[in-house]
Amino acid sequence: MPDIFVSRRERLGESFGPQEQPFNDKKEIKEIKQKRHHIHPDYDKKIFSSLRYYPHNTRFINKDPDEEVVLIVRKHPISNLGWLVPFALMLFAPITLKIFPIISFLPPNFQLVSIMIWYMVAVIVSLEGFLTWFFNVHIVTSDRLVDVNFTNLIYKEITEVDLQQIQDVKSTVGSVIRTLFRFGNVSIQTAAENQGIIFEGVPNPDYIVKVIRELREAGEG
Amino acid sequence: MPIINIPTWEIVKWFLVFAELIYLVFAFVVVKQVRVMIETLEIGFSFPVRLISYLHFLFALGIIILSVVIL
Repeated sequence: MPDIFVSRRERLGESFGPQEQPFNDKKEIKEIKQKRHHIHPDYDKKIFSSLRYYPHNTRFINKDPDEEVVLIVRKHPISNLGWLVPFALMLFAPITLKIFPIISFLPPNFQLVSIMIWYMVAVIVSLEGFLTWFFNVHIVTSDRLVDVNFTNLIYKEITEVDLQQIQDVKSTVGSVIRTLFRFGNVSIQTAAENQGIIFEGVPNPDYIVKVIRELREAGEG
Repeated sequence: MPIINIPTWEIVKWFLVFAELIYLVFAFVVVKQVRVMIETLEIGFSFPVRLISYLHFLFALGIIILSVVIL
C-alpha cells in the first residue's frame, strides 16, 4: 500500500531521524554557510547596512549555539537625518559668532569654555543618535525574532517571538518619502499574549516579510 | 560687581564647574550604556564605539579641569 504522506526529505532521498548524520565536518558547515551567503548577493553585509542578510560574526545575548542569525534589520539610514542635521548645525554655529557676537559680553576665557561645552553637547547629540540607530535592531534568526530596543540611557527592552508563534506578517509602505526611498513598517502578529512586534522604518519591508515567511514554512516543514 | 566680596564671575565659574560635574556623571553613564549595548549585541564596530564613549568622558573631564584652571 503506497504511503499517503511522503515527507519532503523522503522524496528528496534525504535521511532523517536517528540515522541522520550531523554536520561534523567544519569545512562542510563553512561551505553550506558560504552557499547561503550567496543566495542573495545583492544584499551587502557591511556593518552599517540597514538590512544585513546572514551577517558574519554576529551574536546577541541569549543566542543558542545552533541558532543562526538570518537577518539584522535596523531603521533606514535616512532616519539619521534627525540627528545629523542638528549635529551639522551645531558644528558650524560657533563660526557664526564672528557675525553674531552673542557671547561677546562674556570674558574671553568664559567664551572659550562655552564654545568647548557647545562642542561637547554636539558630540553627545551625535553619539546618542548614532547609538540609538546602530543598536536598536530587529534580528531574525532560524528560530525566532528578537527585537532589541534601547529607549534611553538606562532602559533596555528585548522582545522575543518564536517563529512558530507568528500568525500574520504584514508590510506597510506609506508616504512619498518612504515610497521614494523604499522603506516602511513590518507588522508581525503573534499567537502570544503580547500583541506582536513592529519593525518601524525598515528598508525593503516586502523582502523581510518574504524571509520571515520562508523561515516559518521551513520550520513547519 | 562683587557679591558679598566674591567676584560675580567667580560664582559663575563654580556654577559652571558644578554643571560640568553633573555632565561628567552623564558621560560615565554613556560609557556604561555603550558597554551594555556591546554586551547585548555583537554586530561589529564595538571598539570604535567604546573608544568614542571613553573619549567623550575624557573630553568632559578635560573641560572641568580647563574650567577650574583658566576661569
